[in-house]
Parts: sequence; C-alpha cells; structure tokens
Amino acid sequence: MAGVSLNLSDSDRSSSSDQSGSSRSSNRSLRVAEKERRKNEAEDPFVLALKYFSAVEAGTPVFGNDEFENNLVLVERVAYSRGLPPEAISVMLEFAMSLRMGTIPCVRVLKCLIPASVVPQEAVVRAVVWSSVNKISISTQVLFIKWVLTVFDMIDAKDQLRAIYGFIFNFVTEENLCPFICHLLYLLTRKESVRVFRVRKLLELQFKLGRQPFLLHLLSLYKVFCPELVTLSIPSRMRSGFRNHVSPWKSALLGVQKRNGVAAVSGISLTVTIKDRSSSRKRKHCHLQLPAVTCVINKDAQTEQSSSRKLVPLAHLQSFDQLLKNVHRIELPAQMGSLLGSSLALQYLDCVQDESALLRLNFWLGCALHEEFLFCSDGEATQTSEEALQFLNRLLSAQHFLQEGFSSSDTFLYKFLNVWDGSLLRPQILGLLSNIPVVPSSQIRKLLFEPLTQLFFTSSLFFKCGLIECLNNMLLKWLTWHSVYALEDDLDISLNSHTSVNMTLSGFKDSVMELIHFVGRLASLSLQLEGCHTLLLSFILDFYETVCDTFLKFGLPLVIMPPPGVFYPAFFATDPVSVDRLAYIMHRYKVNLTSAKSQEKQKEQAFHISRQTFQDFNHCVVFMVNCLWNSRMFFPGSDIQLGEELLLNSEVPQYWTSFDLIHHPAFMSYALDFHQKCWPSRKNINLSSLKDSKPWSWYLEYLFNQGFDGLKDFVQSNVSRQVTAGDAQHR
Amino acid sequence: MDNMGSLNHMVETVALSDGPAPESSSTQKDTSPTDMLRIKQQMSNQCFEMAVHVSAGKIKKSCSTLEAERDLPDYMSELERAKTAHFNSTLALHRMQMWHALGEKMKQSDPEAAALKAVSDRCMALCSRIKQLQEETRYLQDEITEIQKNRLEMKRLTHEKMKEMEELTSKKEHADSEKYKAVLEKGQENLEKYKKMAIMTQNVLRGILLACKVNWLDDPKLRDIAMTLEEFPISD
Repeated sequence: MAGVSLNLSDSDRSSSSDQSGSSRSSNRSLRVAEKERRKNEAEDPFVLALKYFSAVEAGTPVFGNDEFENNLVLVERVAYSRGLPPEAISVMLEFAMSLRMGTIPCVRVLKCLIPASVVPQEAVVRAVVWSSVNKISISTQVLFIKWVLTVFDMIDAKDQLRAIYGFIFNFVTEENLCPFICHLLYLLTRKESVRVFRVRKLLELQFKLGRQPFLLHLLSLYKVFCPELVTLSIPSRMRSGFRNHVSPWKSALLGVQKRNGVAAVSGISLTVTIKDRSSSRKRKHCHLQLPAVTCVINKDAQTEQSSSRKLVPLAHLQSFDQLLKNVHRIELPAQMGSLLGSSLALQYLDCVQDESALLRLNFWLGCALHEEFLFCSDGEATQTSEEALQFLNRLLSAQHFLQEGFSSSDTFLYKFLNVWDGSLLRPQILGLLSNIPVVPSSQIRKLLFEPLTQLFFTSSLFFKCGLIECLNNMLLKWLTWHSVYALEDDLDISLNSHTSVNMTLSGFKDSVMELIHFVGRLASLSLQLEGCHTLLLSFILDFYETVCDTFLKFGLPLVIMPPPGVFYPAFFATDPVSVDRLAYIMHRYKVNLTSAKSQEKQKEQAFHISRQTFQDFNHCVVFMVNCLWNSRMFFPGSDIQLGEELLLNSEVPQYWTSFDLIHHPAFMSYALDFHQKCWPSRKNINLSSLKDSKPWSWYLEYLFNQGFDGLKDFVQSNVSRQVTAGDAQHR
Repeated sequence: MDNMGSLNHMVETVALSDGPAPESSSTQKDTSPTDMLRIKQQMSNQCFEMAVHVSAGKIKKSCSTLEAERDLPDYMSELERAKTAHFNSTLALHRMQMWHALGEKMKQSDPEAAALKAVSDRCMALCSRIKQLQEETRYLQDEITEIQKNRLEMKRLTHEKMKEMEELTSKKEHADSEKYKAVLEKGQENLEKYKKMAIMTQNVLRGILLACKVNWLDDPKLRDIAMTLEEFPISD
C-alpha cells in the first residue's frame, strides 16, 4: 500500500511540473491504469496464495495449518478451472520439490500442477536438482517424472534439460523409476549424449532387469547415433512405443484446454503446401495434436547468437529457397512429430535420410497411434472421430507426399486390423493400409491376409468394395515402386528408403503373386455371397485392369489370369459395361502375352511365362468367342457343363445361342433396339435375323458405337472375319 | 498290478522263509515259486508290449492329424473349385432362362412390355454415360500413375545425388591431408586421450555433486560449471 501511494505522489509531482499537453496526459492515464491493475493483482487471493508458497519458511507444520490449507485449496481450484500460469508452476513446483513443509504436501501439489500455457524450463531443472538432493520417496519421484513426461511438449525450451542429461541419467539405476527415465532420456538424447559409460550402464541394467522394451528403445536410439558403441543386436520390429502409463493429469488437462478454447501451443509456421487450419479449432486430445515446430533453444537466447550459430533451426525456414541455402546445417526440432504437418520439413527429412530423426519420428507416431486407437481404455471412443480423423488425414497426406509409409504406422496397422470393426474411420485406415510396402511372402499371410479375410467376410458390401479398392491401390503402389527402383533384374531392391530390408526380384514377384491370388479368391467368394452384385463386380474388374497390364505398364514379367470365379460371373453379367470391361481386359492380356512371348525370343531373358498361363488364356478366349460370336454356348470341353436333359427342360429354344452378341442379357436390349430401328415395320421380331451377314455388320457397328471400345478391340484382335467390300471397319 | 504286488509279496515271503512253503500259501493254486516267478515275468512282458502298442497307437493318431492339416488347404481349394463351377453353371442357366423370358416379353406390345422397354432404354442411356465416365477415369488414372512414377523417379535420383554429394565431401576432406597424415593421426590420438580425460572428469564431478547431495543451482559459479558438464567444445 505504501508503495502505491508513493507512486501516485510521484506522478502528481511529474504532472504538475510538466507543461506540454496531450501525450503526457495520455501517458499518465496509462500509468494510472497500470497501477490500478497492479493494486488489484496484489489483492488477488490467488497471487497472495502464490506469495505464501514462495515465502513460507522451512519446517512450518502442515497439520492444523489453516492458512496453508486455504491457500492450497485456492491454487487447486485455479489449476483445475483454467490451469496455472507459468510463474505459478515455478513457485508451486519449487515449493513441492524443496520439501520445505515435508513430504506430505509434495504429492498433493504435484497432482494439481495443470499448466495453462507453457511450463518454464527453469522450474523443471530446479525440480530435478531438488529430486537428487532431497530424500524424496520413490513413488513421489515417479509421480514427478510422469508429470514431466505428460507436459513435455509444453516445456518452452529444452536446452537446459539437455545440459543436465547426465544428472537425469543417474536416476536410471532406480528400478521403479527406470522405465520413465528411459522415456524422458529418449526424448532428450542427441548424438553428443551417447557416451561409452552410459551404454555400459544400460547394458548392465539389461542384464539385471532383462530385455525390457524401454531399455531396448533407448539402446536402439543410441545405436542409431553411434553404431560403433552399441554392438548388441536390436530386433528390428520391436513393440513400438513406450508403455502407456496412466497419467492422472490427462483428463484435467483436457478439461482446462477445452475451457480455454485455444490451443496451448501456437500453430505450425511452415506452410508451403500443407496448410494448418487447426489453430482455430478446439483441441480435445493432447496426444493427437501435431505439436508446433519449435526451436530447441529459447527465443531470447537465440537472438543474441544468431550470427554465430552454426545450425539453423528448422522452425525458422519459411520457403524452399531458404531450405536449399541452409540444407547442410539444419537443426531438427526436439519434437519430431511436428514435422508431419509441414511439407518443407518432410521434404528435408526425405532428402537427408537422417536415421535418428526417422527413428524418433516413428517412435512418436507409434506412441500417438497406439495411445489413441489401441490403448484407450476409457469409454470415450465415440469422441475420437473428429480429432482422430484430422490426425489420420494429416498422416495420410504426409505419406502421400513422400510416396511411402512409415514403419511405425505399418506395425500399428498389423495390430489394429486384429481388433478393427471395419467401420471406424474406414477410408483413412484403408488409405493407410494401401501405403504398406511390399511384405515378404513368408509373412504376408499371417500379417495381412488372415485378419483381412476375417474382416472381409463378416462385413457389408461397401466394405468389401472398399477393401478391394484398397488392395488395388496397394498393388499399384508396389508395381510403381518396382518399376522405378528395380533397375537391374537380380539386384536386391530396397523396399523402403527408411528400412534396410531388401528383397530380390523373385521375392517381390512372390509377394505380388500372393496378393493377386488372395484378391482373386476374395473376389470369387464374395461374388457368390453377394449374388454377383454389379458394384462389387466393378471394383473387381478395376483390380484386374491393373493386373492385366503388369507387364507392359510396369515392366514386371508376371501374367496372372482371373480365376473362373471372377471370369464367368463377369461374362454372364447383365450390364454391358461389365462385359465390355471384361473384353477389354482379355484384349490387354493378349497384348501383354504376345509382347512377353516376342521379348522372350528376342532378349532371351530369364523370365518365362508358363504354358499353363497360355492354356488358361486360350481357354478363356475360346470360350468368349464361342459364346459371343459363334453362338456355341455349352460346347463340350468348356467349364460350364450342363446336362442335355436339363437344357431341354429349360424350354429355351436354341439354347446354344443364348449368350451371343444378340441374345446375351447385357446386349439383348441393344439387339431389340437395333431391330426396331432397322425394320420398324416388322411385327414379328426375330432376333436371329440379325445373324445374316449384312445386318450383322451393321449391328456390330451400331453396338461398337455405343462406346463399347473394349468389345471392339477384343473382337478385332481375336476374331477373323471376312471383310466385305462395303464394310467400313478395318482389322 | 495289485495282483502283481500281492503275488510279489507272496513270492518274497516264500523265498525268504527257508524250507517248504507254509500251509497257508499252498492254498494259492498249487503253483511252485518258480512257476510264479515265470508268470510274473510273462505278465511284465505282456504289460510292456501293451504299453508299446498304446504309445504307438498314439503316435499314429498324431501323425494322421498332421497329415490331415497339411492336406486341408488342398481339400478346401478343391471344394471351392467345385462350388464355383456349380455356381457358374447355375448362373448361366438362370440368366439364360430369365433373359429368354424377358426377351419374349419385350417382343410383345402390351403395356408391361412397354414398361420393360422404357426401363431398358433408360439402362442403355445410363450405360453410355457410365462408359464415357469410365473412359475419362481410365485416362486420368493413367496420367496419375505416370506422374507418380515420375515423382518416385525424382525421389530416387535425389537420393542418389545426395549420396554422391556425401561421397564427394568426404573424399575432399581426405585429399588434402595426405601430406600431414602422420601429424593428423598423432593429433587425433592426443585429442582422443584428452577427450576421454575430460569426459571422465566431467563424470567424476557430476558424481561428486550427486553423492554430496549439493544443491548446485543456488551457487551461480557452481551452476555455470554444472550446466556445461554435458558439453564438449569440439564436436565429434
């Protein structure tokens, strides 16, 4: 109070001595407002409570201390309603960890440390030092570390934490603390942090505790930075992500952030192609936020040394040109997940192939995906839609941009397929599935086909169509990858620029064959189940349009015919579009096979199309031509065998013509229409009169002009006809 | 087996007691001890054979299940083939009959036929439209695939160039150092030695601070030192 009056008298004195006008008076009103504000603040109970906690003497008793109780309740109320501001966090954390009033209030205070915006790094560093100085119980230390992990992304800078890496590492020997310390170290490790004695310590711990996943994770990160120091073998497909520890602050954090309405961390600054529209949206779940791209060092410190700094943090780059200029000295942010939102960052990551960065990115991604979809024990699954949708869309566009997937998302998908219901976020999950790189044929059944089969046959028609489309995309991507990366025939091709798994050409062919046969089987069975539904047939024919051109479009010497369960339902389809597509596919098969045969003779390469393939193809074509052109349905030797008696009983006259171009269910309307146009006066419509040579060629022309190019190509390449003088068509 | 046990006991008592078998034991079917021993031996042989047969039977059973499991996929595919063939034949027959009936109907000129004709006209129009759209889609899809191939090619070339650049930069470093190779190596050795010493000293100081449970944050000089214990002025 005394200070306030002094200030007022100061301003009185200054104003009375002043002569000039309005600027001074406006300054004066500002000063007065400022003082009013400060006076209000000084009387604010929350501020007083904080003053109490910062000034309380060591050794003050807890029990029966009403002042302490009231102040703590006040702080807790503020924390749970709108979160604590950074200064409050500093004060309370210092109070708790210094154990000035004993250990009992420590736990209580830690539990209410909900930050509103950022957590000052200083406070965390002080708390860690206190933790090593004082005798705090292990469970309280665990609670503290869990808190640090929960709010890690909200800590404003990480350079001081990295400076005390060694002190944090010291805690790793404590068995109960070990998992959490390893997680924290994982987030802070840099190349310089990897020292021989630390590796040795971790290996000792592994010897004592067994091959725990948290130790393996940290060791694998060390190995990526300094492979010569870590010689043990790490299994390449580890369970991704540290275990999801129950965090008592999560729900409170969500509540606070919802109430505050705006994201705690500012939006992503790099916007070249992928725009971040999310800053105005309410954030619901912390772990699906793509964190902002920030610098490791706090902004103030940075501006001092900007000229002498060797590394340029990624957050400072605004355009592609800047990226190019500084490509050799870029410093990646501490939180690798932030890279997913910016195409510039992804571009850089893709070019440079920094293994440690990729490892950390995969780790973060794995954690986020597991937490959201696999570990969510609370019944809030229904609320996941909006956030999860946006996150997965972001991930999909990142993968689309890079034209490859992430290993952590693949691992996640293999697990998720076993528990998925087929309808939750279907387009996104199917999209992610189509980005999986080539799976070795020894594992593809167990990993992919078994869960997919189960899902497929227990789901709706639309899921079936969606899955077939997804597998079509997957095949396209595999083939595209092959056509670009397999320059020599027998060399090992690396599947994914991130993994070191290599695959030979024959291994790749095996996997592709497995996939095609799998889809063929799914297609045949589903067509039988769904009664040859046209939509399903259309997606299946899409797939076979890809398959028929594997040789010519993608350079893979592989030709696989559609199975009878697909070919015949497509041929007997009642809509002309499907039949036309089938004809187109058959035509492409012929082109591919003839080209393959001629190349085989010329170049004498190792690939060889088996006789069985040619036989199957000929069989199919002979059947089609016999039915459509020669009106010889049910001829002996075809796959469709029906007894003579049965056919006679069907009371269809001339049943052998029932699937030619005139009587086929798909084309009958066209034949009738043509007949009507050709001979409008005729009363008795006899479709077989179209078989005479002149009407026949007119009818063919009419049919082909309806847009049935596939049929046209097929007929032209497979049927030799007499060309009459007046016939406009050329072979 | 209980019989065996009691027989054994009987035999033992007879064998142990000197002299002829006592009166009570002779009620046991007038067989001499040797006969009983022979019987015992036979029974144990028979039991052994039975045990062998039982275990052999078990093995045979497990072998057959293994074989059956191996043959299962073949049988399943055969079954599926048969089902598919049946389905296709049935489909052909049904379609044939159905469309024959439809065709006959449409040839007439009653109102039902007219309705059918209207529907089939609409179908034809839709099919033309669908065909058009499919053509466009096919064209666009081909373009997309081409573009994706090109992008992937670019990516591969970029990676190749980056690798070449790395090789060139590393080569360039070594080129000049041929003359001073020995000096460099000695220098490197010294650097390693001092580096190890520095790291060890840092570690020891850190250990002391931790063991003494000193709050080094409060003393500014100590704080400055402790905060640099991770750093190493010369990068690796």
